[in-house]
Amino acid sequence: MKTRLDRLLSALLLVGLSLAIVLMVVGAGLAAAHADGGIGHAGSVSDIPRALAGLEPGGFVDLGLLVLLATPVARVLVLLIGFATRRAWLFSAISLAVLAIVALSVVIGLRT
Amino acid sequence: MAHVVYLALAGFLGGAFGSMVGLGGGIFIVPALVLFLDVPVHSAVSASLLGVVATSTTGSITYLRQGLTNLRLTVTIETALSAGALTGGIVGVMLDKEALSAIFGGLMVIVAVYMVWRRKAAPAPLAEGAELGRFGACYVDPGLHRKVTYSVRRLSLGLFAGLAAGNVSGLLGVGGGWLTVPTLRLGMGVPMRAAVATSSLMLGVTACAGALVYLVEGLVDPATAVPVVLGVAAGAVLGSRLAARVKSSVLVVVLAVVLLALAVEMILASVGISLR
Repeated sequence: MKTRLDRLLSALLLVGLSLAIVLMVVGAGLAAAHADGGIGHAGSVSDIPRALAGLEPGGFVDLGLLVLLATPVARVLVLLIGFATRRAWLFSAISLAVLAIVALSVVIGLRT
Repeated sequence: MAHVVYLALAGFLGGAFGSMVGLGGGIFIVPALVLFLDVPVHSAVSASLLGVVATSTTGSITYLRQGLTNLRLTVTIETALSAGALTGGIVGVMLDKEALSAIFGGLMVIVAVYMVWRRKAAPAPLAEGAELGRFGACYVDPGLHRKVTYSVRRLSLGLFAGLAAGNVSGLLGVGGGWLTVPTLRLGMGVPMRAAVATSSLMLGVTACAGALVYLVEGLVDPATAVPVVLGVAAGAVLGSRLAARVKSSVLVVVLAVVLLALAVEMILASVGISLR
């Protein structure tokens, strides 16, 4: 049956997805308003704040994509905490293992 | 402008069908972008991975609200799925990709036919007060308007399927839902709606790791990814809502058709005809 944790996770996914969509739509709108109309990248992740401050479309789009990708990871983190507060230590540990594997995948993916 | 609309439309269809049957939608998006819209393969794959994250996130909002997702099962199989995706690259150098495509293509045909044949065979209902076990759960079926209680059997099969699905998703560029949904449904006694919801949630994390690598490496083309992701999100809202209105047996048939389409693609790939 539906639990508080289900509702919390659903709300988290909704907020993450909505924020990502708003940022991407703003980025696309700014790109359409520019003369060339193209959407580029802000550069690296560290360039995003500067691009946002300069109202560059790439800054909004890159931040939107990052928020989209951070949402499932945040979901696993909330699950970890949710299981821990219910003293379901086994599932809390399994959630931690998922986070570790995802982090390892990203590190290996970037090095190969 | 028309190109942007077509990209969004490809995402919309992928998101709608994907979320309806617990798949990521990449099996529609990549061929559609590469074959019909002349998108380079790298851009298509990265847009598809982002689309899978969007399908998983959007569909799961609805499924979690309906209480259909089995969270303990999700996180447990997710471990095997993400470990499989991680080791996929290592195993990949030892296996022949064409042979693997043929084997899994054939397996998909068998699974699709078996699912249709057994589409009306619901898991045996549990008696009132029966022990649910560590992974058992219950939900109110939105179509039948009655409480469905189930226990989960053969967890080791689910872990093995998760590992294999994660491995193959890395090797062949398809999501893992094609294997996790049938395994949950046919092998582990999870009812179809719960299998779709549980698979839908677990796919997001696996795709997320791959997509992040593409993004950081600068291999995501925003002009392709943004319309696809927006289309996917809209399609997945529709797909997850439609899933609640149609009968479970219809969902099974839709999944079987999707599996057969993917099987054809994989078997053709095994003889050197690539649709990607």
